[in-house]
Amino acid sequence: MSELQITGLHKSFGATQVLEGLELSVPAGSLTAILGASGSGKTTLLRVLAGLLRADRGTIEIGGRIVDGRGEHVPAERRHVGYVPQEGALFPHLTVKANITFGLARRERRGGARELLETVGLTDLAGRYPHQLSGGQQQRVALARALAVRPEIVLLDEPFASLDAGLRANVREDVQAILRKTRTTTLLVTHDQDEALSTADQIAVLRDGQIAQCATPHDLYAKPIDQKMARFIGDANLVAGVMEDGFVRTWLGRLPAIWRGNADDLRDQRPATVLIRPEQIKMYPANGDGSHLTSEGGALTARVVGIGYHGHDSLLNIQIDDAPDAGPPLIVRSLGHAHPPIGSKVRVSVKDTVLVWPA
Amino acid sequence: MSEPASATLQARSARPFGLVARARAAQRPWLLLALTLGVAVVLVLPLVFLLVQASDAGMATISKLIFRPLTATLLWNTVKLTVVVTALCAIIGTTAAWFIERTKLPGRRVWAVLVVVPLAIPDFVVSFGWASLSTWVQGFRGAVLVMTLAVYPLVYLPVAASLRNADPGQEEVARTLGAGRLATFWRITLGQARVAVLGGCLLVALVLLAEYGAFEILGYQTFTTEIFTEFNVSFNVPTACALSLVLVLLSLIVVGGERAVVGRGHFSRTGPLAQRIPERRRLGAWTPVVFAGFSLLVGLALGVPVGSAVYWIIESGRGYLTGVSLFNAAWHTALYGGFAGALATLMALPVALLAVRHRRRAYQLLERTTYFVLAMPGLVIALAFSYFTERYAGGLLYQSAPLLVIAYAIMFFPLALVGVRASLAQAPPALDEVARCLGQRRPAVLWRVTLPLIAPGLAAAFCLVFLSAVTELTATLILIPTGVQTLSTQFWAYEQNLAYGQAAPFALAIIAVAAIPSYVLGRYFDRLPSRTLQAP
Repeated sequence: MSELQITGLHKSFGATQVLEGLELSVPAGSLTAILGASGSGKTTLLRVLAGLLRADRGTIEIGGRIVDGRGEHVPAERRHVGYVPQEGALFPHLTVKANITFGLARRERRGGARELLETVGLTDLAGRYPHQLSGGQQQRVALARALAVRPEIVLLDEPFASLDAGLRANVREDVQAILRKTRTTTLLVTHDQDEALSTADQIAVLRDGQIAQCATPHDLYAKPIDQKMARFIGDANLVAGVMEDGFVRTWLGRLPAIWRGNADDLRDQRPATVLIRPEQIKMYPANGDGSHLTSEGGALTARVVGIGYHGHDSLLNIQIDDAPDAGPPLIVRSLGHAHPPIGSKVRVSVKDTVLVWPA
Repeated sequence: MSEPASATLQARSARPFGLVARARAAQRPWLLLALTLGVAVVLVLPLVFLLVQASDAGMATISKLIFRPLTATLLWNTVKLTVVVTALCAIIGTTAAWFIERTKLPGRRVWAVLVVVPLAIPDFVVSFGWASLSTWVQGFRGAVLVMTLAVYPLVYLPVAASLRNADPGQEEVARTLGAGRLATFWRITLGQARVAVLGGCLLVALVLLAEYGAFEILGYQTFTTEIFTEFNVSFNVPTACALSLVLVLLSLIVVGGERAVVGRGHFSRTGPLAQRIPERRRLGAWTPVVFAGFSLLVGLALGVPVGSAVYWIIESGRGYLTGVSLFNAAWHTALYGGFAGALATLMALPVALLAVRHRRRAYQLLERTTYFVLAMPGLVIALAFSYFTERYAGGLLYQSAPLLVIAYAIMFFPLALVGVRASLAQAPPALDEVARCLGQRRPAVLWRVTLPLIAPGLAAAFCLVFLSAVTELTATLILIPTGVQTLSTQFWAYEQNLAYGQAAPFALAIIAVAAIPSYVLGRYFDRLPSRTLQAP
């Protein structure tokens, strides 16, 4: 399996610029998720990588071989890139086995399928036609078909989007396991943050035709490069504050801060925007005395104004009493199935350090 | 953000033009484009030949021949008949389609087959069936009766298909918005079927403009009958040519008119292609009336022509039945029809591939222009070919089997294109792309993926052309190789000699040969809407 290296990739359709100097490096054997809003050019990127579209500029290198750029354009059929489009796109006129062996040479077709059928756990279904399979089974066949020709990398376009929510997690784990087992370099495109965070080794966020940030799931959530990214990955409260000697002073209190702007831009009394993740806000019953709350954040009283119930946890909207500016309510995560009802009073405080950008 | 973007834009436009052009050109499907252009050239040939013919005669002669009272009479006859029959077909076809698709009419599956079968009976056979029984069926009233009964399925078929495919959700929403049943039917149902009704009417009008045999039997004079007489009987080429020009112009007006009317308004389903069957209406006390109506329609359109042919066979006794010539004629009919079907389907393939798989405006326009053949009546095509091969090709191909097959293929090309295109539009292009990523070159992709997927569409295209060629008379009479007879020309020879007993077996043979592809087509188009090439 090979690594993928993309440099300065440009692609436009008429006057519409889709990819504008995209840079990305995918280590061999890893699973990288391309995360982007719909219409951000994810599918275009995959199709350029597969050789189905021609890049306007830039180079694509797979396993050290240039397949696009510098006067080179290797067509799809000679690129050895496995492509699994949305919905799998199985050949409806062929059986599962014939689908999987489609890309093999004639003499390999007879025996070649068995091992792969075992790998994806579909040995019993070899003689079935695609319309006789469930969505998850179809997805596995599509993957096996792409892997059969031993591609250098595999591209998955929204592989789980068409599956029922109940099925999705299972299929995702299956696919992940198969890819790990075969140590396949994989690029997976999705618009689903949760999917990217839970599946990928590395997430590349596609924005304005470029990779805005490429990091591990943990780093992406913990250290987004800007406010927009913070909002895009997970839920975020963004509040105003003023810098003060390594801390930021907000109406939620004085909080230990990490400055994410230029170092020479940092000075006291510098206005700033503060990121507070919902799970950083801790909630207590209002009738407690709160005397143990001696953190820098202090304790504030608030009112619950909205509840988004998710079973395993809830996202509450709370309005802080005596808030200096009537900003939007804060989002707070409350674990467990019990949560205070709407209108009830709570006390809150902020824990841990916060990220700060120049306002 | 905007600054770097405009910088890239500048950098882009600063690139040498040649580089951009080369990058784009590499993706162009040259082979398909060349094949399509080749097909387009073949399709234009009849028109070119017609113009050659006209210039041979000279502009002065042509205009003198056009601007005279005869033309006015023919124009009045042709337009009068076209308007009346088209209107009647629209009413009968739409009504029948609504009752079969939207009500609980008893036996509607059987009716659905029976009302389409008349399509397999050539117009000249229907005409023969009626005219040989009663002298009342003559002239204008005869032509209206016969042609309406012969061609109303051309409206029924598309309207029934569109009612079957129409999104019942739109009707339901209209009802919840307070529109009554009648208002819903008028504003939504008919609105959804409008394109289908107009499309059917276009086909009816074009058939009427091109029909020869039926009108000849009924003694009703139109452009086509007059052109045929001038060319084949009086050998008056300039007159035939002048009248052909007017006929082509008339057909072009019909085609253009339909395009203009359909062009307005937008029709689509909202939501996915979930096949929800709309609730059928109960007919209640009206059931016997509607039942009687369908019985009458089928009796007149199917019973009379078939019954009449059987009557003449019995009446004339067995002595006339000539088994060998019947078999011989059937063989040639099937042979020519088969080759025409194969050729037309083959011609339609690159055109459809280019238009559906390479979505460029220019390609789609190119595809669209091939439909202009619709406006070339078979008689005009045959006439132009016959004249050109005799006069300019030194007799090469003149009255040869290949020329007849080519003429058929050109005449019925639009039918083949419709069949191939519909199935190609349903085969997801993602499948082709996956096949390429699996290392298959384009020819292999076509062979292993695209063709198997559109095989039913290719079969439908073949059947449509075969069916049309088998029931064709006019062009066949002109182009048929000397000494050979097809079912229709042999029927015609006997009919013209008033040998009804000998003509009748040939009429039944035509119906029998045409019935097989009709059945295949019926099954195909019935399955088309609910057919999903890709499982969900």
